[in-house]
Formats: sequence, structure tokens, C-alpha cells
Amino acid sequence: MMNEENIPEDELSALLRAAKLTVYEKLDQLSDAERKELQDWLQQNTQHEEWRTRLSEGDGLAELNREYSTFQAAAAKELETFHQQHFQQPEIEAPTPRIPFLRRSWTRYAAAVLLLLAAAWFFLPGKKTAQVKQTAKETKQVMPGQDGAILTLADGSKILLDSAGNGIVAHQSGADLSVKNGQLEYKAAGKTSEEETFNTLATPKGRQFKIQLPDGTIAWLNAASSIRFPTQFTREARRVDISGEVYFEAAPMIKEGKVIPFIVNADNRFEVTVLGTRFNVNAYADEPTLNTTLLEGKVAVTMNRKNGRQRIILKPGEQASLTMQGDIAENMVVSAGDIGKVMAWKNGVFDFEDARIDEVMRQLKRWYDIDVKYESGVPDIEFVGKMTRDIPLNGLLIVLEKSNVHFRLEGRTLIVMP
Amino acid sequence: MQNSDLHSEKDLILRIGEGDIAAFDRLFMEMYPALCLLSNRIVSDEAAAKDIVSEVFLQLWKTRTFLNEVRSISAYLYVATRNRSLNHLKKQKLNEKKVQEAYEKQLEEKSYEDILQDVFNAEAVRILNEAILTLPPECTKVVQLNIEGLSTNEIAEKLGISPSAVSHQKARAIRLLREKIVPGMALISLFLAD
Repeated sequence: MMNEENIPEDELSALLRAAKLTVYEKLDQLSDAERKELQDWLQQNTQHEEWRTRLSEGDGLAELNREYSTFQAAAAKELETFHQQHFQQPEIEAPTPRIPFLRRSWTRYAAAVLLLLAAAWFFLPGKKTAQVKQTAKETKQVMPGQDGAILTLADGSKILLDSAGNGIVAHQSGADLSVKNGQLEYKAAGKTSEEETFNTLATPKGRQFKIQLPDGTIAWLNAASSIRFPTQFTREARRVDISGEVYFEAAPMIKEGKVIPFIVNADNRFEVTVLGTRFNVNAYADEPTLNTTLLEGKVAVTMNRKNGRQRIILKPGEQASLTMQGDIAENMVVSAGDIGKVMAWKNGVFDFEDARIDEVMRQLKRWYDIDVKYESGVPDIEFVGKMTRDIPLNGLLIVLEKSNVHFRLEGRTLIVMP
Repeated sequence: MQNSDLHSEKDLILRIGEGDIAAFDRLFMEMYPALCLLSNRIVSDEAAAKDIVSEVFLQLWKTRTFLNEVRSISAYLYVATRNRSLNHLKKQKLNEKKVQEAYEKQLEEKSYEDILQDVFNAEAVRILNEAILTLPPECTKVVQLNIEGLSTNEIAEKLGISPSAVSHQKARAIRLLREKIVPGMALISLFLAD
């Protein structure tokens, strides 16, 4: 058999068998003989006992189960794709085309979500729409956010950016700025200036934007966020300041054989030091915790505490959550991050899985540029499901109302009713 | 019971070996999520994990005529997924060769034991899902939460039903599982401790 040299086959068989018996034990389905068998296996090796214990520790199993369910939900589609690629024409021994495959499965998924939403819209006309009451008849639809940002140059002048305009937007010392396909790009140009000059890109509520920094690092700004950066990175470290939520794909940079770290400073509350990686920083002032989530590579999160600094190294998939006491950092904990949920915004999706209503409302506030009021306190409701972010507010509310909560829209104020 | 399962796995291997696509599909649906779970634990990238698992199945299909040498098809798939995932990581690192030297020492890799734990976990979740899939929905949620470690009262609170209703569903689930599921499930009892 191929590729099995590293795990002895007997060991693997015993392991799979033990996994099964462990689950059956939990389901109260073990016969006496099986119970004995499991006990024997556990006593064989302390490692065995540890495997069983670690499966049930903390949220372990719940987390695994959630992850399993997402893959399970994708299985049928993936099988279909597999059929299309390998069974419909005579077998070709070419390797699977990687990138198109990924893209296609994502677009399909997005389309499915949209379709679902359209169906919800279509099939629930009169009754449901009536629940999303609009007091003033002439109230316009609250449209979703879109691409757009304000760029502030070193001299203080401001440029309004949107996805429509392409081309060079400014020349300034040492750099050319241009917008391509809704992304702002910096290119080194002309002589390098001695003095460091800074630009700031900011998105208001209801806007998001993507920028390629002078070093090739790409940053996605969610709504109500900002990034301040030098027009040339000439120092020992590449430093940027951010607020709100920004996802980074940091480009590696080496100067004279030394890796130049990329450092993200979030409102002076904490700092993320990077060596070529992908990660998301959520530092909205109105969120209860400030989260840094690492997708790939390695970062160090340093927080400024009253009594000194605390530093944590993150591994891929981990999330550092910082709790604040006013402006002072209080505590930082590391847990497994829900990458899908953290990255939903960048992928154009709301992920409301297990989200509490106040969490959902803070997201809507920023994306639809609305205010939110609770008529009688914050209801204790959790939502499920995902939705694309490119639909008008009303469409979204119809779907949310399935979770037994009701809304009223007065102008740009959303009122949550029990 | 075990004999019939052994038979069904042998049968499945045989049928796939003969080019039976329906048998292949069944294996794909039964193993795909667990293999993705394992791969994702190694590569930490859901999209890549899906690709890797599809490649594993493609490889299995291409080499199906040799399948009769395989004693356990799920063990084969777990190992192939592990190896491909580790290869993926290696390749990725080569792509980042420029920076690699600078921080390679700092990047920790999953140990052999860690990955065995991941295989153990993936198989456990797979078995769990196959088992509770056959239960009525009202039972499923209770069993799931119970296994995740919540107490009867916590489950009651979470689902908005009374604690006695929770206990009732639990008892019902255990009875149902005993009656119909355990004896007949394909792939669940693939292994005989021989």
C-alpha cells in the first residue's frame, strides 16, 4: 500500500476503532465486550488515554462538529464538481486545475446564498414585508455599503475615491498613486525623499476599500476604518496605524539580508508584528473585544497594559482577543478563531452563525450607516446563517425576522422590537 | 454484525475496483467531511483542504485497480489525506523560500502525535454524525449538545424546553440507536481488532 510507511497500519486501525468506541461510549451503545476492548486500548499507552481526553476537552468536540458540518454541507457540491471534472469526459490524467476550481466553488456558493435570499424575498411578499414597517411612506430603501474611501495626502488635501474612477490620482514625493479595479496602488516614483511622509486612507460607514501599500502589502478596509502609512517604507520596520477592521496580506520584505517586520498599531491599544502573512485585525472601539486572527504565517500581538506590555505569539487559526477597560487594555486571551466568520466581511458576506443580536446590529450599523435602537432592551437572541452583504437592508431584515425578532425602520434608525 | 460490515467494506472496495461510480460516490459522501476536517487541521486553509481531499479521491479512482490490496479503505484515505496535506505545507514553504530561512525555526509544525490526534478526532466526529443522522431531528440536537458536554439543564435552557423533555429525548435516542442503527451502519464498523 502506498504512503503508509509513517503510520504503522495496526496502530492506525486500532486508533480508528478506538475513536468509534469512544463515540459509542458517549452514546451509551457499548456492549460489555466493546467496553473491555476500549479499556484495554486505553491502558496500552498513556497517549491513548490522552487522545480520548483531548477529544472531549473544552469546546473541542463542539468546534470539530461545527467544522465537520460545513464540510458536510459542501460535500454534495464538491462531488458534483468532481463528476464534471473527471467522469464526464474520458479520463484525462491532467492534474486538477487548482485556482479555477476554488474560484468556481466560491462563486457557486455565493450564488446559492443569493438565490436563497431571493427566494425568501419572492415567496414571502405581503405578510413578511409588512412586518418591516416603514413609518414614512417616502422613506427610500436603505442601500448596502459599497466601495469607496477618502484619501488624505501628506499636505492635508483630500481625495474622494470610488470604484468607478481608474487612473492615476496623485503624484507626490516618491510615489505615484493610482486606482485600478477599485484598488488604490502605490508605486515608487522619482527620487526617494529623505523625509517620511504619511497618507491616510479612511472608509466612512457604508464603504469598504482595498489598497496596495508601497511595499506590496494588500489591506482591505471594512466600513468605518482607517489606515495611516508612509508613502515609502524606508525604515528598519514598516509601521502602519489602523482603526476599525482591516485584513492584511503582508508582503515579505528583505533589506540587506534582514527581514523587515510589518507592524500594525491599533489605536495605540495593541500592536501586531508580522513576518509575511495573512491576518485580520478587528479593533472597532464599540466592540467588546478587539480581535486579531491569524490565517497563515506568524504574528506577535503586543498589548499595552497599565503594568507593562503583554506579548502573545499566534499560530495559524488562532485568535487573540483583547478586552478593554475604557481605554486601558485589561486582558488578552488566545483561542481558536472561526476563520470563516472572521473573514466573512472580506468575502462580501455576513456570517451570523451563533451571533448575538447586539453583535449583528453593530455590523449593520457600520455597513448600512444606520442607527439602532432597542425598544425594550436587547433581546437574548442568536442568529444562524450567512448572507451576502450586497442587498438592501429590507431584504436582510426579512431574513433576520425568521429568528423571532421584529424591526421597524424610521428613516435611518432601525428599531428592534421584541 | 461485524461480519456483515466487513463484508460491506470488502464489497465496496471490490465495486470501486471494478469502476462502479455509485460505490465511489457513496464512499465520497461518507468520508469527504472527515477528511476535509483532518486536512484543514493540518493546513489551516479550508479551500486548500477541499482541494487536497478531492485530489485524494482522484488518486484513489485512478489507482482503483490496486484497491484489492487495501485492507481498510478509510485508513487508506486518512493516511493519503495526511500525506498530501503535509506535502502541501512543504510546497507552500518552498514558495516562501525567500523569507523561509529568516523565520523557519519559529514556525512550529504539527508533530506526528498531534496529527494522530487529528485523525482520531476526525473519525470520532464522523462516527458521531453518521450515528445521529438517523435520529429524528428533535433527538439529534439533544444528543449533539449532550455529547459536547452540556448538562441536561443547560441543554434545556439552550433549546427552550423542559429538563424532563431533554431526558426523555436522550432516552429515546439511546433506545433508537440501539434498535436500528448500531447493527446496520455501513463503514462505521470497518475495523475488526484482528
